[in-house]
Amino acid sequence: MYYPAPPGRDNVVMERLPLPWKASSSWRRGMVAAVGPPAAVTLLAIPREHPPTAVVAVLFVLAVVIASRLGGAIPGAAASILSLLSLNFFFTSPLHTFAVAAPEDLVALIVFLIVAGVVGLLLSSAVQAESKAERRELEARLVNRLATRLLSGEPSERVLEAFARGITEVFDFDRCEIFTSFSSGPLVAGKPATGSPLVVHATSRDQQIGEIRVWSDGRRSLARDEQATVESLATQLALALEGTRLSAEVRKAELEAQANQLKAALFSGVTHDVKTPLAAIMASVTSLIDGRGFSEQERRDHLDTIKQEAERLHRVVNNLLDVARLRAHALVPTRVPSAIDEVMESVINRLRPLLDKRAVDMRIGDDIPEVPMDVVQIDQVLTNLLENAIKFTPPGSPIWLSAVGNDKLVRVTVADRGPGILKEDRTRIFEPFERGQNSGSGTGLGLAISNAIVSAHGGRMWVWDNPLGGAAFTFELPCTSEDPKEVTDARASARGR
Amino acid sequence: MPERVLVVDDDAQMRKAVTNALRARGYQVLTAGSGEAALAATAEEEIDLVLLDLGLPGIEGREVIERLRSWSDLPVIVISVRESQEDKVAALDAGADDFVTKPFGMKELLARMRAVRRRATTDEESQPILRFDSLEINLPKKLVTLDDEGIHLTPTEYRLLEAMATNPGKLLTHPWLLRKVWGPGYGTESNYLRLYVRQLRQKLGDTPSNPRWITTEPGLGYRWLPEADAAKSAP
Repeated sequence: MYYPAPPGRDNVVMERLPLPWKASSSWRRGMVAAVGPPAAVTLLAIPREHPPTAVVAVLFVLAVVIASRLGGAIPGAAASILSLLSLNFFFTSPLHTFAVAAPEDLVALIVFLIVAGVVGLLLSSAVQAESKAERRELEARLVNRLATRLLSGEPSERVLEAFARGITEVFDFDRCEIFTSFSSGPLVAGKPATGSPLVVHATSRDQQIGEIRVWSDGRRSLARDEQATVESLATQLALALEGTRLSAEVRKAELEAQANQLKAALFSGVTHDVKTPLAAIMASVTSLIDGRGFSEQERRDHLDTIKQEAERLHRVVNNLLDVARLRAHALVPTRVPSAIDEVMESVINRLRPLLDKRAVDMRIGDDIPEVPMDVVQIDQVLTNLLENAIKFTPPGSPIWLSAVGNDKLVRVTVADRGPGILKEDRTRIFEPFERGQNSGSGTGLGLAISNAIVSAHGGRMWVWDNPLGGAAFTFELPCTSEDPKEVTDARASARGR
Repeated sequence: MPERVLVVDDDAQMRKAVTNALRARGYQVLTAGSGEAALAATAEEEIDLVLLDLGLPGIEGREVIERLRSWSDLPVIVISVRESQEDKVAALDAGADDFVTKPFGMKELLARMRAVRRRATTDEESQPILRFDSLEINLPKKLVTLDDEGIHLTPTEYRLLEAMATNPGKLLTHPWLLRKVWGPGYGTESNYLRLYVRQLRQKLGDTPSNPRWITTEPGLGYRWLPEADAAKSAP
């Protein structure tokens, strides 16, 4: 039988079964069970003229059965004796005395007593066993729910509080407190209680990791089997907590493994991205230092290489610095209303040597509003997008840049005529250390950093197909900066930069 | 007499590289490795221009500018790895004349040095006619011709062009241009400025992505790119 928990509590489904062994008002129920059935049989049988003694006796056996089923062993025994007295007094001759005239009546009465007693005892022990089984099932469900919910990652304090509530309700305690190393204070269920509680420690591998305290009402002390129950609950609690701790450790280990993988990828990517331009610079410089007889054109070529590779190294270092800022939670933009087209112009101007003879089609919509942005960071985003468009497309292929805007946002697109980005890569490429299948080596940081910067501005970034063939990267920046979290973060990081 | 430049940087390699490059261009170079040494040198030596790193041991670069500005208007160009808008604005507010971020090309640095020196020497005197290749600006008559064809500018556009073209190479910040063109009550209306710069560029046939006349310093201001024909010679 399930009832939904009342609103206000968390969503726990709690059984409330009418349990025969429950202590409250049991003595009154026992009285009713013991007296009721024999009295009913007596009243039913008296008006009859000389009812057959055997029939009445059988009816009394039924009364004892009912009493035992409802009240248990003691009411059953009481009902047996009452039935015997009633049978003797009302239905055996001489009537209305407790004397017995015929010896066969005496035998019948004795047999009745034995039958009633045996039936009552058997029945009441069966009832007791049934109620014990019910209780065990409740216990098992309670413990099972505790373990599942703890492992599912629900806040352990909430789960433990529900557990405490389950204990008080199922076992009819006044109050239950659970102390664990997972929660700062006790998790309490029930009403304030006086008197001393039953305290049971939950231990795992000889270490105490929790404690259950239960209070029962002053009128009764805890039965021995209830104590045993609480002890078993404590053991289960310890097991569940231990399981949770272990699974948390496993999760941590998994995260660490993942982080190590990322670090390895970062190192190999960084090694490539940093050492390649350095190698080119060293090669050119050393040949200029050692070599003689270079033509003016050859000298010039070497120097151009040095300059271009140094600039490339500069861009790589900027991304690495942003990774460091990201990790230190310092990649927070200092946003000042600025014009996106100005940043686009300045990036194209700076990357002009890389563009070589490519056609760059830049379209700026009319009336693009100024949007709050960190110009250095947005410069970095555009630099990364443009550098990718140059790096991953055939030399000489055109590049499009466009910016449109309204009073809510500006949208910037960098499109190329390269191989494009495969559909399955379109989310992945924005993750750190991930590269598209069409790209070569590299840290795979540019897009991740760009994405992080745009997100920190409250915008978003995605990739789609250039309708003419190729990839198109678009990002949006909002015209408002109404993110209180970002505003406070910005203040904190402004000092860090 | 050659110009004397003080190079302030705590990195010896950097001082050496800049010194060699400047000497090759005919400058006389003094060096300082700290803010204190820089201030002492400006007080004791004849110096025409300071190249100043911001991250210095002892007295920080920005404080060097502030202290220097209390008694001198010696041109100062900041050379620093700090690239955020805040850092640039702070250095300019402290009194720096321009800001070049490391790493930089020597060509760019030399152009900036010429620009601040020019302003420092020819601030008051005005040449009647400015020529930049095919662009001619007749200041007394307020006439502008491009490839010998007259260009019609509105009064505001003309004032903007004049403000820029008379300060070639120099970083012209938004507030400075706004006050110069619109008047002292202005200073924050950078969207006005953007609109007029765009119109001016259109009329001058300038492509923002490959500018011939006006370059943009995002978030900071603009720069009139070409040096006037008469002022092109090195020091």
